[in-house]
Amino acid sequence: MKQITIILSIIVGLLTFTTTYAQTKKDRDQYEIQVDGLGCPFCAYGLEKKFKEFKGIKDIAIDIETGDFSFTYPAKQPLTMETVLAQVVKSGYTPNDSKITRYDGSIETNEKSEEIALQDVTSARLYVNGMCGMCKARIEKVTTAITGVASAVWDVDTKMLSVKYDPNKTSESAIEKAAAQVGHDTKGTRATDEAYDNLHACCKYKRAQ
Amino acid sequence: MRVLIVILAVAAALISCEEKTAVPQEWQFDKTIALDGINPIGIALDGNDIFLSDGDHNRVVKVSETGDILIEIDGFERPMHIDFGAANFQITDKVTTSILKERALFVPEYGRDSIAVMRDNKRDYLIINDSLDAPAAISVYENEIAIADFYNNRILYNNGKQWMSIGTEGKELGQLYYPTDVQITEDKIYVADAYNHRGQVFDKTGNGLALIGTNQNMNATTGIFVTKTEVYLTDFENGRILVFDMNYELKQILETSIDKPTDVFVNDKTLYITNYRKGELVKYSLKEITNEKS
Repeated sequence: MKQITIILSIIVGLLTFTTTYAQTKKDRDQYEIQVDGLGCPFCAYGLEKKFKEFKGIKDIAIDIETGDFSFTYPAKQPLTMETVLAQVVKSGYTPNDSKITRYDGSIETNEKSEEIALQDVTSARLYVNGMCGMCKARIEKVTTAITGVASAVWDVDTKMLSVKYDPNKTSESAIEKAAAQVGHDTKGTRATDEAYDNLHACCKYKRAQ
Repeated sequence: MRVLIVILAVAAALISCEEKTAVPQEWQFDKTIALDGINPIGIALDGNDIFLSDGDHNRVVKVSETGDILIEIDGFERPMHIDFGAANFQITDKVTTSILKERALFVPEYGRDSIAVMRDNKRDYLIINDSLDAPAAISVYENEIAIADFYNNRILYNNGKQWMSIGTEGKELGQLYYPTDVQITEDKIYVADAYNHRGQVFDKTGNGLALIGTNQNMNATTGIFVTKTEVYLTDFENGRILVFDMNYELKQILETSIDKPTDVFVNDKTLYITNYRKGELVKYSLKEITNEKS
């Protein structure tokens, strides 16, 4: 009889814990942001520190290598996508793809859905100056966002951007210009000093004079 | 005759001494010590005892030469570059205020904007009448303290009498961009000017004196250590330690087994490097350069 009582107590305890845990999870929104500019633990802890200004934040996880940053926040006081992205910028970093999974299962993202029907794809290799993985993420993000670009892959060692694009919709100079606009010098287009200065400190490559 | 023999013996000894000091030395890789479950940021030695700050796990640990954890002190919020010292400073345990008059371990807590002061198991906090924003390092030298104040782009320095702010945000001499480490010496303050990718030297009134390693293509200079004859800088992204002489000329580059280094510490003829990402302590030894190598 004693054993049955103990087993029942354990089952009831487990059920109570599971229900409470489920409710706790259910009451929180999940935020996932891909952050550009997290090079070292000082940067990662800095991002965490700035987000702790949001009272109630929990389950913070940061992967320095990939820039994946996630946390949960009470659903009763939801943060908007704009607020979250602004806080990343305030911390000194650049937000990329971001997703919020609300407690009711609905999903919000900052991605633009775009389908490109490419007629005629051509390949090119363009010189784009940069120095690290964060530069790579930035260069590829801005160039693949151009209408007509099918793919863009930048190599940190050679500084070459391998790009596939539809020449009816865009051009090499437009791709170079896009990279320059976010601070990266190319063979044909030099970034403005302002754009270069806006790069994260980790990404300040040596410019040709 | 006896006098002659003595003179000859002394002369021989002197010549042998001179020859010995003339032999050039360099740092050579010794071994890698795996640190199970530790991601070290800062290192400080108390005698031969090795202490590491483990930022990812919010603790400071004392480890053995084989990497085993001997003592664990937890409950910090992102502890960074630590130091031992006996500065005469006001501390509080949140209830009582007193003056620290003994050697202690100073732990900058990046996530709590405070400096913890540990003596045995007792934890106090340094009283600072200025607001820190992510303290990344502390250096204690006699009665002086310097703190690398990361987000404020400055060094907060106390010369034993008063606090002063050193450096402003920027890239010129005398300016800093996210400093992550600092060390006070007899007459200077050395800074790891992390995201200007260089070291920097200040005098104790806050004037910028020199930049170190600006032509070495460093990427994130996260740690610094200074001896009487050398300055050591960690090149985090490139996985290197750069060794400079006191004219700030490059002497040696260490690369073997170094990966994402955050700090470096020299103890006589042994050099320790913290590999943050891999969770390792790398040991180099100062050895004579052999003929085969040259």
